[in-house]
Amino acid sequence: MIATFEDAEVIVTPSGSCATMFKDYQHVFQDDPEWRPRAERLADKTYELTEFIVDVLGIEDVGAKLEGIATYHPSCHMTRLLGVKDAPMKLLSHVEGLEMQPLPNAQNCCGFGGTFSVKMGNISEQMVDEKVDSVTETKASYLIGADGGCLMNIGGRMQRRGKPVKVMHIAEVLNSR
Amino acid sequence: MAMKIGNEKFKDNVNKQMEDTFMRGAVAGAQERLRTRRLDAAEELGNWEEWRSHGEEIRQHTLDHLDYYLQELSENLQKRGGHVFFAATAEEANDYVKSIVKEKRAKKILKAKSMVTEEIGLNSVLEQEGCDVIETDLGEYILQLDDHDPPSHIVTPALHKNKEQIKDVFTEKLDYKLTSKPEELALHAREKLRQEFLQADIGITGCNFAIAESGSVGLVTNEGNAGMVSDLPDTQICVMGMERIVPTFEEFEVLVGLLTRSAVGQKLTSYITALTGPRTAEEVDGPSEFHLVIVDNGRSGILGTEFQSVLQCIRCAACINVCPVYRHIGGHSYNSIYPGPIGAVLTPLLGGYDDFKELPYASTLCAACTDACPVKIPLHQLLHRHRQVIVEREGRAPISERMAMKAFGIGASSNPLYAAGSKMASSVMKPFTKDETISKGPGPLKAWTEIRDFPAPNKERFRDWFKQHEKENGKA
Amino acid sequence: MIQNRERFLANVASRLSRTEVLSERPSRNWNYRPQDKTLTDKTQDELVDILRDQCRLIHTELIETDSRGLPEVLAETVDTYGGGPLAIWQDPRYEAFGLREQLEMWPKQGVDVHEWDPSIGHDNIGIVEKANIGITFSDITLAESGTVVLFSGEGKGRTVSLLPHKYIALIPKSTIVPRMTQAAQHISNQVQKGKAIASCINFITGPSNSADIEMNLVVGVHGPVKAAYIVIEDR
Repeated sequence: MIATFEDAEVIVTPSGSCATMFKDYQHVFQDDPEWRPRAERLADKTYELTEFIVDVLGIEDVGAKLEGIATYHPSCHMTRLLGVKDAPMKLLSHVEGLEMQPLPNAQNCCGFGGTFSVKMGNISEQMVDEKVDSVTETKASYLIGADGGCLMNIGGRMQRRGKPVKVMHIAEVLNSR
Repeated sequence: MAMKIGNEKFKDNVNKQMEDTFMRGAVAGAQERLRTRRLDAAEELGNWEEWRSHGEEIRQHTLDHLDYYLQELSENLQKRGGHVFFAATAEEANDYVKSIVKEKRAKKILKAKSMVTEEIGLNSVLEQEGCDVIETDLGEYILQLDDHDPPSHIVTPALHKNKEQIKDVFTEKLDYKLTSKPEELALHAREKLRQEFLQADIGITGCNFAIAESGSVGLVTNEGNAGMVSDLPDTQICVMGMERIVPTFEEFEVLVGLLTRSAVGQKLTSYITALTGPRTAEEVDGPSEFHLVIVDNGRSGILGTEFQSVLQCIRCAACINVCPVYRHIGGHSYNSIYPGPIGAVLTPLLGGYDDFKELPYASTLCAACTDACPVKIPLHQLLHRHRQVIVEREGRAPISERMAMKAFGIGASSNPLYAAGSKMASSVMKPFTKDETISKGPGPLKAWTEIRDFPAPNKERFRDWFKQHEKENGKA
Repeated sequence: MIQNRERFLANVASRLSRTEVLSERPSRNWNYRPQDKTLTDKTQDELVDILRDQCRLIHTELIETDSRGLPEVLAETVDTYGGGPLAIWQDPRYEAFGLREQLEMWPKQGVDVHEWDPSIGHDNIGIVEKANIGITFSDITLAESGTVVLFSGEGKGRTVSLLPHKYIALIPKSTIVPRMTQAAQHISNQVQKGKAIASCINFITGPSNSADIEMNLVVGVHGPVKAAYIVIEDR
């Protein structure tokens, strides 16, 4: 991954989880004199998408339009490990026509957890059901998130349970016109 | 009972526990309350991050100099007339306690809640000696009465039981005739245990933190039972995990404040006691003989390794109280007296991967635990590290997982390969796709689609969209 | 007696990459000391306010008085708690705070008072166990948490605050400090000066309680079921 991406000027990823991992390589290679500096350089220029737009580009209104009620699921890695909490909300608050509803127990994990979702399927199911119930409670027609894994998990479960909520990555929302 | 509380497989345990709807409701309710209380207590104190950092540096410093502080502790306690026994194993610790019991010809032994005595299985050893061993913490007392039901939480051990179940236990074992009101149940326990306190030969407590500078043992309770156990019997034995120590009273204060706030959201609990050796010649209450048993039992094997930070733990259970996995499967699923995230890290280290290799996988690595820990143990990282050790060193991960990790490793390691792989994904999945979703997938997808649909890989990739987008805007 | 120490600590030292057990006290250079700025700017009156607020949270009645009013306030509190038998320490502070007369009056009114008596040894415990109310002074009082700190000693039996059904702490206002930090510093200073600290130091915060049954708070488990603090203006 380092070799693949290290020549880029900046690295922007639409996933808090991926950004966290990119920033974590320096710890993985902390005892490696060759790879550690390369990993550090990679970490320094890696940004999560919303963080990049708000904190680096200094833009909060991207001119997006989307009609309806939405709620936002703050992914675990993005908020707790990467520390990106406010940027997505700032961007969403400027989307024309979009009404944001707070998600109850937003801090709870959706139960994805990579291999956990299949390895511990029944526990994962209970966790995602809790999340789906919270989303349903908001009466939102859109569930927005910034991490593909979580969205795939929550979205897949909502579809299975026949919930008419559209799952959108925040990039899709910001690209709506 | 020792650290391991059952022989069932983790999966079977989970399946069984998840059917216990009362337990799950109780755990969810308790988590909600304890989480809120902890956050309020942290908010009220102010500078919480600074307090956590201070807690962390105290614990790290103490562990890095553990040999010095244990030496100092034992010297100072000896000066005050106390006896110190260093036990490398559970057997050594139990044998020492047994020898005191024999010497005193003790029959009735009172205990205050102590995880380390659960870990070494002390109660059953003493019961085999014909002793009457009585737990005095209300939660532990309930579990003991209920034919030694194991604890499911390290702070509130009977969390999994409701008041009706507790009433039934009391009715059956204590000839209790009142209602299931917590007040009435607690009062009944008070009256029963009061008589026991006055007749006990030996009191056994754990140790929240020993204080090296003075040779003291610090105990933290709300019920006042540790006071009873240490004030009334003539002989007292404290059993401590060797890492539960601080340099001076100043650090003791910091950690006690972090512990009580994180565990129950109280500024301090009702009773915090610092005991320094036996009673003095002028005093008439308190023990005439004081023993401290310092237990290793696998802890030194963690020192100096990448897992050392787990020994920072002050047993507050904040990580357990925020863990979404614990919420759904409860404490007994972990098969260890140490459940939740801390248990999933600590248990395999103390008990080995053979019996506990599933525990590090019982986490989404959501890091709620790491966030809650008052002494900043990077719990989710340690869980992840366990998985790496299991995969790399022990080769114990399931084959499918190893294959998937390897394949992604190769595929992601070069730019062209990654590009080709992402291009192929859509066509490979085509046979399983219906209305843009996959509801019955092949291979590893099967487990996924048992629970939820899977979105078909996008026909249009980002890199193609981006090129098209730039073209449209005249930039290509 | 210390047993098995050498082998045990040698192993610990080697795990920490040392060839022998560290014999020099390590210096403790903390990067953080939040306790130095927590409540340290409060006046004595502000600390009483903090203590008063905290007492509401810990199910403890707080009464304020001065030395002159103390006998009456104490007698009233004892009455509300159902009278004797009472258990107290053998402690010159009762007299210093003008309570001698009241202590002599109670037995005449049929209220038994047991003053801790080292000469009768273990019998103290049986008497204290039957007491309705235990009354002690607070040696240090922590405003933030509403805690009384009691040092055990010759006339200061540790069970007086624990075994009776209710507990009353007499708190000279001068004993109030911001929080546990100051008490810990005081004790640590004693240790560093080579003085013997009390064999039992109790930090007591209100009545005993438990939340072990369905997380419901039950006040009064093994220790006292009720507690009152009487703050006495002494400066």
